[in-house]
Amino acid sequence: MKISYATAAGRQHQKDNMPCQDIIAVRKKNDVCTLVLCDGAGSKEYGLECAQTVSSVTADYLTNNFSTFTKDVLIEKINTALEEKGYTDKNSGTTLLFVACDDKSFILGHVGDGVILMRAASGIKTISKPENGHLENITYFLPSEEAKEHFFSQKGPLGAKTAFILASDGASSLLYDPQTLKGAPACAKLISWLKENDEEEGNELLQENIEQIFREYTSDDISIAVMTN
Amino acid sequence: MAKILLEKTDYYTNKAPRLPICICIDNSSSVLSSKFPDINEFIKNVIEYIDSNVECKTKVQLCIVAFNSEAEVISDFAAVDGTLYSVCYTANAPDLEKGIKKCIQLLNDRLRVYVEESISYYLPELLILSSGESSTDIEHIAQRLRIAQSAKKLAVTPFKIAKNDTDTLNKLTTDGIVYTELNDFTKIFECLKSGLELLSASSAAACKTLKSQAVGWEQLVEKR
Repeated sequence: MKISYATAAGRQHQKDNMPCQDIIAVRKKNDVCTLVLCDGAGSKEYGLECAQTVSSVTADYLTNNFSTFTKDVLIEKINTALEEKGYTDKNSGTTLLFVACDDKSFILGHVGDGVILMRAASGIKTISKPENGHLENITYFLPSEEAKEHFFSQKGPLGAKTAFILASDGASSLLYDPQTLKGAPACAKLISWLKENDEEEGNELLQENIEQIFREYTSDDISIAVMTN
Repeated sequence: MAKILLEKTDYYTNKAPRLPICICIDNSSSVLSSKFPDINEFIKNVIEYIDSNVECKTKVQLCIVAFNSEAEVISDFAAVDGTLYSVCYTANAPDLEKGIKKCIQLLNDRLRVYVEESISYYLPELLILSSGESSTDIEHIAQRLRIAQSAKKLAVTPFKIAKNDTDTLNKLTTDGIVYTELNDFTKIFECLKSGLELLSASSAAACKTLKSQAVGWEQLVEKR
């Protein structure tokens, strides 16, 4: 599988001289390919550090335990890693989106906002849409008591055309239609750019489009990642 | 490598106003199992009508929830694309409160999407097809519904679909209207259709001044 990805600090973070709090982790090992995207909570003291920890733990766990994956074990590993570093639901938080593939199947998972789109034979559809909490502009984060309840995960077979797009909330609204849950035409282009180029060129194209296009529509951090064969 | 940028037609910026409709259906033992073919025919008629009307198809987002002792999301809010859904009879007790709570949660989630996407929306509609029985106390949730209706944040229309006491359903509305066509889902569909016809006949600007001929559906065309 090939992976391309790009992130950019939102206008607000740039203005405040803050780093982008969207973190992407990629692992490739023993025919398992893992892509993880975390959007650290800007409202928390250690949002960025939490996103870094969760993305790294998730990527390592999926890559090394693909065939035995359970979300309960993953959540336990995440919580343990965060506790060891002193990150709690009070001082830290992140959303989580991931997809991992071996040569026959995929696993994906999602907590919080952002979107996961999948290309299948029938087209590109939203497979996991943003989930928000009880108040406007509030979403579900790891770590939290409710994260387990709101942790969406799915396993399935890989088809010849299967491809995935992960996007943080800064980019998601342009890529999926909340009415029909269909992916925007842009999704097919993002996948084809990676298909027709090497990963580094795919990264450059994504970065250019995030800077030139997506940033026009949001002041939030933006990250997009694509996986295809 | 040549620079390639997405074109404006490649990504979504659809800002048409939306009308969220949530249908909450009692599929507990308090509704006769023999009614379910009619209930599913009603769902089919609603979907096919919306799917066949360009204006409705663009604006209406439909959600279907079934409840017995648990609440089940049959279809989360989405544009109608012709996909048909059905509900099945269960032998469980009717937890009306749980069903309504699930609908409110889904409606709130949907409105949040509209706010985030800067999409205006019509007064959300909650249709409750219920026997009127509930295994749990509905006082609290009924009060929440009445407050939401008084604040013009929600329109609630209950339809009684079993031969039981209507007092429970009366508690859910501020206008006291409870449709009681027990065996005629065609009439319920016609009622919904009347409201939707006004939606398609009106421009967004004219919505506030329109008056529905279908009693109880005036709110359907009142735009926030």
